[in-house]
Amino acid sequence: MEREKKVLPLPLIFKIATTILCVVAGFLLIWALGDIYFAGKEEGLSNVYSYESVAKRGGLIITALSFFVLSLIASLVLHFVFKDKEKKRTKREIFDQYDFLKSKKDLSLLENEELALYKQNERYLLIVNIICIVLSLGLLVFPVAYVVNPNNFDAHGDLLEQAISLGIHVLPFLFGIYVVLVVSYLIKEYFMKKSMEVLKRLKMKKKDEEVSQDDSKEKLIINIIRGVIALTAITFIIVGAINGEVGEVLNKAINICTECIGLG
Amino acid sequence: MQKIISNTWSWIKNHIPNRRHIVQAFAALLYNANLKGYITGNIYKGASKAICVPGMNCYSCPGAIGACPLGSLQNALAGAGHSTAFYVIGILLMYGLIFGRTICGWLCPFGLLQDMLYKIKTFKITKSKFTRGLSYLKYFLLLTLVIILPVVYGIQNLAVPAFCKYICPAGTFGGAYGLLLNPNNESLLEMLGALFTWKSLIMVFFMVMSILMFRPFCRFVCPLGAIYSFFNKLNLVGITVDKKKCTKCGICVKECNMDVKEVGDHECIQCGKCIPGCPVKAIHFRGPLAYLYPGYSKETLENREVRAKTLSNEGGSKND
Repeated sequence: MEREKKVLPLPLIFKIATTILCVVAGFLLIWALGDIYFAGKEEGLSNVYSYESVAKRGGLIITALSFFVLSLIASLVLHFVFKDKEKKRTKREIFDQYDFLKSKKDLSLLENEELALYKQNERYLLIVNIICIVLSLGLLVFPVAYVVNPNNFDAHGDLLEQAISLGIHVLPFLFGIYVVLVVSYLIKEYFMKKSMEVLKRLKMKKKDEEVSQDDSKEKLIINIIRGVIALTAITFIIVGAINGEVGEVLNKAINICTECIGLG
Repeated sequence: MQKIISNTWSWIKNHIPNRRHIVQAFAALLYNANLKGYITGNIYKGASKAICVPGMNCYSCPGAIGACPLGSLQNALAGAGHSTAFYVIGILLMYGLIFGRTICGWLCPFGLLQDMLYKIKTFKITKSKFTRGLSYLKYFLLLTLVIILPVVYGIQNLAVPAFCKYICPAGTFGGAYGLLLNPNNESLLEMLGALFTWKSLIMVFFMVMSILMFRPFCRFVCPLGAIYSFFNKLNLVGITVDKKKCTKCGICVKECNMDVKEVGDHECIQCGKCIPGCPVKAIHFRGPLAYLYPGYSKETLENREVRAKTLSNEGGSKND
């Protein structure tokens, strides 16, 4: 049977292109700025920045800006032609939701059996995490040991042979780490789902009355704090105005702030 | 022909900017209403500059008609030896009480710039526990660069607005480049040196990072956001969650690009992105924003129906 060739989808290529263009544009601008400053310093110029010095790096700056414009165009093509919709992260969803529910947990409301089940799941999660870290680090030792050993590489030797040897000694271990991570992810997902069922039951136990009572208390406290802050703010503004601080703010604002614009 | 017109019309309808971006754009325009300044290369010197605007907008920007709250606060604290900062603190308290971090989501020009850059389609760096941890950096910067350093230098009669001087990319973008790109200000070029290079590098870094991740400056660095975050549970205009309706499904937190743990916490910029996603309609705006929002698109409404159905199916089988 004829195998179908796997080609990167065009929107993905555009996305990769925009990312690279933006990052490169940033680097070029940083390079241009650094070059203007350090070259000016080396030449011992009194004014490092001038229209001439900027014009000399015009090529870099124009390239950076054109890269940025290109990324904008690619982005627009992606948006209007391919109607790219950002994919929701499905892999992380369970972790996010678990973290959220965990931050909201009030274990005192749980029955003994539920609490025991929740704690057991948490324990399993911890064990899986520890095993995953130990196995990954253990597997990582071998390729690192190979790479850092200078005897394994010879600048005058057969490069292809060395590359194959490197691949044999490194890739299987990296693949092993990947497998460990995937397996641990699946196991963790299983225990998280079990824990989440317990955590979701928590919200059913909170009575509406408790919530409304808490609400009214909270509202009262918030309103008192609001009143105090409002009074303080008005008093401060009046006292400040009497002290003549309005004039000081105006005086600073109507003159060019040399620190803000980088004159020092 | 009719088909082309109808297609064009539906395309226009589907691509009208959402109301938050319209409000952001109007706020940016209002803060920078001195359009003449961009042509002449001079900054505005009117009396309105005695009032701080709520968002981050450098007062050295040629268009600015108000004062930057953060710059004003630093300068007021820097004058600790001979003056006080009651006026600026009072204004910040007032803004915080009324809006909280709604300002970050709806009224900040630098936030709008980052939002627009984030729309460029690239691979994105998503939020994680690391970014959540990094979000506390802004409180450290608030304490050191905005409060401690200006006060310490102020006692020695030196006015050093440390955050504006060493970090603020909004000042570099609006103030420095706004002025320096005007040929009338060629004389300013001669005064530039290491500090300008450093600030420009920071600005470029944040611009590129804004393309790759959602609002990096607001999330990790902005001390103004850090100040307003203290008011996020108290603000009169903002987002609220109906605790009776909330099923704690976590969809809102997952949909949010900020490092929130729950809707309305100190990281929430109250943009309302989570509102259409809530399957039980537990999240809504209080105050005037309730009238501006919701402007749900067709797609989000459909998503909402699908989600509501799946959740009711799941919830029915698991919870009961």
